[in-house]
Amino acid sequence: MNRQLDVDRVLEDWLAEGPSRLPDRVVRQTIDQLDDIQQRKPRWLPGSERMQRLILPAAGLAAVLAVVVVTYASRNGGFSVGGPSGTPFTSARHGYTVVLPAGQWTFAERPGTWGQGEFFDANSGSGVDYYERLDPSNGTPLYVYLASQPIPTGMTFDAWAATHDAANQREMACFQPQGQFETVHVGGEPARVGVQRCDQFDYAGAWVTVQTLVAHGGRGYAIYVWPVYRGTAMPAESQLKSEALDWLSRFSFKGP
Amino acid sequence: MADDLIDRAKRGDKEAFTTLVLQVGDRLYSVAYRILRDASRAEDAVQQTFLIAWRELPTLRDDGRLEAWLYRLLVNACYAEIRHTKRWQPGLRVVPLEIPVTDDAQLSVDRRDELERAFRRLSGEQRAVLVLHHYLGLSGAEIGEALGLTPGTVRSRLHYAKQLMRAAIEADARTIASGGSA
Repeated sequence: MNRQLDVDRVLEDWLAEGPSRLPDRVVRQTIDQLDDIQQRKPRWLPGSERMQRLILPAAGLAAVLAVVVVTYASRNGGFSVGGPSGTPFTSARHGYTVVLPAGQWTFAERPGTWGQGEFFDANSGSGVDYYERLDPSNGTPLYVYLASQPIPTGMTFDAWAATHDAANQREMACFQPQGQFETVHVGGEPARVGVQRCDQFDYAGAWVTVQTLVAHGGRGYAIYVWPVYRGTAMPAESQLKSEALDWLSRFSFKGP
Repeated sequence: MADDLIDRAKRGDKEAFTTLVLQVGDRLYSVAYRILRDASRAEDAVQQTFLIAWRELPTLRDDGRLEAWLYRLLVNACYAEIRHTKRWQPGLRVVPLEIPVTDDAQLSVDRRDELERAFRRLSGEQRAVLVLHHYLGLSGAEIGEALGLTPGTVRSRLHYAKQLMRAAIEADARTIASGGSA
């Protein structure tokens, strides 16, 4: 048997292992969600898409999409649709507005709430708002995620930041405490902003992210800006930081 | 797959769509698991695939291409899952391999580990063509049709993916030959 055939056989044997039955639970969950999704109209019906464009004013369409996104995301915790640059996105639950930078952004609202001292990430973090821009034509492909939580009465911002540092340290040993970071203003509030660097991320080697902690109206906010891995080199720290600061400059708090 | 079933599902018949889900769900899940190497993420990818399929089904012109179209949706959902996974170091998010040991023990534990590590180094695009070819047995033309790729692109991805996997298999063989753990 030649080597080529042997490699094929090993691969096929290996791939044959593993589960092959979709759990009933997943089927049930899927079917249960169908009622919430409106089917598209066939595109080839004469004028259907054009008529939609003519009939629905852009603002109305954006509002419909926003409702679909929020409803869907809150149920599914991960579904997302596109949002054009310049769109102000307001989060009622976290009390902020962000005007998205250039590019096509997707958004997902993870259900639940972020508890004090809990580590959160982009995918499974409860209460996380998640933004993603994959198209590189408008800058570094980025994803941004954030969450907020009430700062207990009597607790200082530094003490609250320390609880977040501790949660990060448990999961991300490469992360440095926020105390070392510089102070800039985000939404009119002093914020700690710094670049975290992890040298041994699997798949892509060194990785950088811009981490921000800020407080407003008795709530503490943690905001992370990451480059999306596209199989190419990571952006320079200075470039990522510049783009992160641009994103943060578009962020404002709602209410006093 | 019965055209009548697809027609009914296109017109919003949930019962018909459920039947379709039951007909193809296992196949899609098997493929998703093998691309993602994680049961939970595979479930998410399949669910996402079916929800998008339900929404977009009326826009499918050729009912005969339903399964290929579903594979395309599924592979895109897997790419999204991989993108998310790659943002975090696997050492921080522990992902169980969930590989049952087969009776004939044809593949050694070391070889499985080597294959697993090598496979996780592949891009999502390379994983997809490898799985569609070596697991589903699709030809290059069929993969190209399903994923919207030229045959040259399919060949290229398959070539590089197999090179990496071959290196892993050969490394494992050398370890065994030199008296390493087997």
